[in-house]
Amino acid sequence: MNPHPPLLYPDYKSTRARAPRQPSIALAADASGLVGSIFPRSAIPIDADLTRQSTAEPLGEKIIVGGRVLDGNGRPVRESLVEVWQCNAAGRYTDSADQHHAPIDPHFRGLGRVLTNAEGWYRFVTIRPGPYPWENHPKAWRPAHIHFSLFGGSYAERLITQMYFPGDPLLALDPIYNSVPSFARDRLISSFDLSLAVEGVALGYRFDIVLGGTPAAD
Amino acid sequence: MRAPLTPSQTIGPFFHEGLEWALTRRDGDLQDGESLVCGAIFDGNGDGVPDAMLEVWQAGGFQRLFSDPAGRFTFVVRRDADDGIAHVTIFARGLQGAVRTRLYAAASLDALGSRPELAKVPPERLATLLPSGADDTRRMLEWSIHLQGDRETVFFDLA
Repeated sequence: MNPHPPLLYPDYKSTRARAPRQPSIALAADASGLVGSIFPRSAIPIDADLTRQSTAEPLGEKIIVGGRVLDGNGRPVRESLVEVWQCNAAGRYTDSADQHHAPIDPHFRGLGRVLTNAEGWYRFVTIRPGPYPWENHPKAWRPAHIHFSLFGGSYAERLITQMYFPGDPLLALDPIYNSVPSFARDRLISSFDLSLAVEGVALGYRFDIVLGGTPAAD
Repeated sequence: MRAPLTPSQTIGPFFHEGLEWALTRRDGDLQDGESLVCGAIFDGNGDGVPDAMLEVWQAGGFQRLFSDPAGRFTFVVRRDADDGIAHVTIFARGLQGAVRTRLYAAASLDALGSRPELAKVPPERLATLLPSGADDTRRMLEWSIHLQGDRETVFFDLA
């Protein structure tokens, strides 16, 4: 079953004028023969600790986020780039397009890049992001989330998604989250995971990611 | 055994700082066989999409670019590699996942009509996969992306 949200989801207003309306043309996923290893490892500015990108620690609750990146056959995606970006503990992005009135934290940019290891594991240290208002509907607030960008083994596996936190009451009200078919929504919610926690420093959240597009070879 | 695929979500409006480290900036002259593609991405109202990220994949090359405030973009395509096909992945606020199209930079309309992977494309829409203009040397190509409307670009589904 297709777990992805439909392109047109009118409750998410920005889809109305942007979602393509004509049926897409199906192509064999491997038709292009394009592989995913597009960035030489040496060209990637690895930065897995978002709390140490300034002269002092950022405000907020420090957390560890980690998990595995797998292909559709359950095999690890190795040495693959994971890009993350998020707002700060007050719900403000440093991006100049974000003009809502929560404060910028001068010690938090909210940008990270990590590589998975040989077992497909990634891990980064960050601050738990805050929710923030947006203009989609009255009293609309996005649930706290971290944006993830992933490369698998091929062109077809490219994925951008968002990770949410367990127990967030805003999830039930969020059209972006709820645009995902109901059977697949909980795949976007991280799990509270003490095994990732660092004693006296940070709690942990586990978020595994499965990339599509790999033909079933076995 | 198949693993449960992770759903996509929009890139949102605030990705620029997070993803700009990998932007492609081309300085210097075009090489033989290369063309500069200039165009813009438009929504269904005909407005430029100012918050789109495009990734262009071609055999041996990858480019990442952001649209400007008017929706404009440029990238380089090799006409002499991979049949001149640029595989273009589009992300933007309001797009719920990767939207994929292709630019056939070295093809003619007649040639597209006989390509097997395009057999299901309505003939009147094939031209959206070709440059809409070019200089005499084909070193400069025009190609725009229309997400909706009378000129909606052909998009591909790899699922």
